[in-house]
Amino acid sequence: MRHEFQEQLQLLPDYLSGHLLLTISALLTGIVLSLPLGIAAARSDRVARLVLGIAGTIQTIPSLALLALMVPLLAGTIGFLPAFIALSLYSILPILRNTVIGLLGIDASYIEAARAVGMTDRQRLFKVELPLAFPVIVAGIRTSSVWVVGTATLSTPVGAMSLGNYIFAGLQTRNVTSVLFGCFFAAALAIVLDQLLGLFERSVYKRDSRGSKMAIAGLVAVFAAGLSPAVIGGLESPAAGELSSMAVHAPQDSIRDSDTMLAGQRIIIGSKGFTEQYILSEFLAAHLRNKGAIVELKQGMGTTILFDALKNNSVDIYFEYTGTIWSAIMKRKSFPARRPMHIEIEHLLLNEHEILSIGGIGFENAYGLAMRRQHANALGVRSIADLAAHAPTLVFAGDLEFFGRAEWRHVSDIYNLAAGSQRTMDATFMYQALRDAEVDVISAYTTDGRIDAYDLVMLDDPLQGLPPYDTLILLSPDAQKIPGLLRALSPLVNSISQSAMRKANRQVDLEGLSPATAARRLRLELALP
Amino acid sequence: MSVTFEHVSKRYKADTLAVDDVSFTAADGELVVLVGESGCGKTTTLKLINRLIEPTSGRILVEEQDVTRMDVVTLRRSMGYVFQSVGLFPHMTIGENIAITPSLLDWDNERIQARVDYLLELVRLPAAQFRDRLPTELSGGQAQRIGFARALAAEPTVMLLDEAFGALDPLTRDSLRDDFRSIHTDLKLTSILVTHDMTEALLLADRIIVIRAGKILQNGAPAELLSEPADDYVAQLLSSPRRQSAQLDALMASNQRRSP
Repeated sequence: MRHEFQEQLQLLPDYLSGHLLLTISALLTGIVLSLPLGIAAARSDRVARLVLGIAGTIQTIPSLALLALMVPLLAGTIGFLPAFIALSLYSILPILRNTVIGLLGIDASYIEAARAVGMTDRQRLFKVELPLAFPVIVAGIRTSSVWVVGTATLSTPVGAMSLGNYIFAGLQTRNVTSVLFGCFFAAALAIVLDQLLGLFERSVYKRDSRGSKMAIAGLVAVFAAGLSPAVIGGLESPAAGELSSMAVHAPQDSIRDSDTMLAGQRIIIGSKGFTEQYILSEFLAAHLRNKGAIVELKQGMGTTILFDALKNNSVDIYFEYTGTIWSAIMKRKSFPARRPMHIEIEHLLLNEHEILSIGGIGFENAYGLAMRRQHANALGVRSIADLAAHAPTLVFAGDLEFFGRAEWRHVSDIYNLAAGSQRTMDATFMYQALRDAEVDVISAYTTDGRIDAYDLVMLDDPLQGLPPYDTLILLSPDAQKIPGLLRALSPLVNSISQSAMRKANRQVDLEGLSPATAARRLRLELALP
Repeated sequence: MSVTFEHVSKRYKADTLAVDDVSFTAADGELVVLVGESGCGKTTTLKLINRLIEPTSGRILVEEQDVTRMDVVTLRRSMGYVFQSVGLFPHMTIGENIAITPSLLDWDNERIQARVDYLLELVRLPAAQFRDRLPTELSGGQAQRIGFARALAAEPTVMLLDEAFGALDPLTRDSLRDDFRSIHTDLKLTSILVTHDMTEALLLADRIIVIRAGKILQNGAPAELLSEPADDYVAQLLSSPRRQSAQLDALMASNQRRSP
């Protein structure tokens, strides 16, 4: 437990500073945009209705969707920029609304007095209207700051580092400590910001200059902490290098192979948000660091975001599955055999997207339909074809993507499974739900460690309704030009077997190891150069 | 400074004239009271002077100068304005409230402070005690005294008062009225006061202008109105103070008879 705690604590400087930088820059941008807009809006009814309408509409877009939308809108850019823009947009409404309400709510007698004593419009705004609306405006900023701190945890899937990395990684790898770390620090940050802003507002209102200076000093300190992870880097334990991490690493940690051309090269490795991808990205990171590269990990993203980021060189390498490319990216509805599919995929990736597949890592992680062994035996079900007769009485569970994908429609059509009821849930909970007989059939991943552990059985697929999901190593256009990278990656082709991957997944999902540790064990086992 | 209206009208909507061809002059040093029922156009007439409202037609002259040709901000800073709801700024101290117009005019700080202290004494609120307080700590009468001090701050020669004594209790109202009357005289102001209270008009005014439906019905000294009301409406407006006065006289007389 102490080890685990230390492992999480070591990630804190990077995650917290990423989170602070996002939150505060988005909040400042929100303030800078909202105040003039709010002031203009309060002058004219038409403008007020228009801008409040637009801001309100933005607010109705679910925050995760707004974040994810930014990536294609920015032509595949991931990381700070899309998260920053989405959060800035998100921070506008409360500040804008409160600015308008605050200004419109001012007693008419003050406006009349301000005009009568001979103030210009500008003087009236700055000497009377804004000071009187100040408490309401600050209340809007406080609301906004709490929202933004919370929503910033959702920027992990677009590749921006935040406290959300704790939460996403923790949920996917069943690491409660990690989830609690993320929640605790996000909540603490929200409370601290809210209290500092509250202190600022009260002391300005009470004309207590000491209080307002303290509040400003506090806010500046929080901001400074965000800008320099070194300040909180003191928390890092001396054993940090040994524990590995999901963050940027200095090259001196790991240069052992000095004759490689990769020394000092910056390489960004992307991963999706499930256990196997966390392990693979750590595995690859350790491999490249060993060659002297400076590796940055961007974990926990979705398929299309990651693929767009690769095209756009925001990510250099990630692992993708052939079946996913075929159905989710190429949007194909029919499923040919493995070999022709591979050829077509590699051809399309290179010609249309300039993405290079350097081959498979060795195992396939297919979607398959799994049941409890006992239940399958009782029903006499061995293959998916046997399910049709029982479909109306069965509950099917899929991960967040599965029922929306072409593979499912295809399988469901050819095996006639449409009569079953469907439940969508997070992949982490799917296996448990099956074990506990809450559902009957799940869209399992063939490499998942829980298939053996929960005594589940993968059903045969005699009609080959589900495509192959060989795991490819994909390189972005720019990454292909990094000298020595291809040579460094070549030993990885066909290096990890299905059973080795399943074992590593099990270590994380069931035995509580961190993805980094499981990756290190995998490397030791494979004895890679 | 004299204030002159020449055929001034103000039309709010297409069909209603709030001020209908009004002409009068308030001579330098005069205290003129505009009196009439609520909605008769007297407040609109007052606000036309410092251009809180712009006229539709006609001219308003302050010392021979057309107000619509003057810079509006300069115009307002040269006039004091006091109104029923006072409108002291709650985020400023009493001293800062009074100092607003002088500081807008870039007076130097020493002069402003001296002016604030002088005005606080003038409205009978000790400067040392009140200068640094916030308006929320004041009673209604005290707040309106500060309202007067603020209006007088930049040494205006014209004072505009819109129901300035309207929200006060009778004792406070009487004492503030008396104080205002002597300030008006001492500072040689030209004052124009709007009220619906004929008694107040009779007690304060050098000259009374009765307004009904945007038109002037009568323009004359209080004694003139009392002896020769222009029409039944004016007579009716005067009947209430007359009756009160007669009742008080009778009461005093009977009191005298009863005493030995």
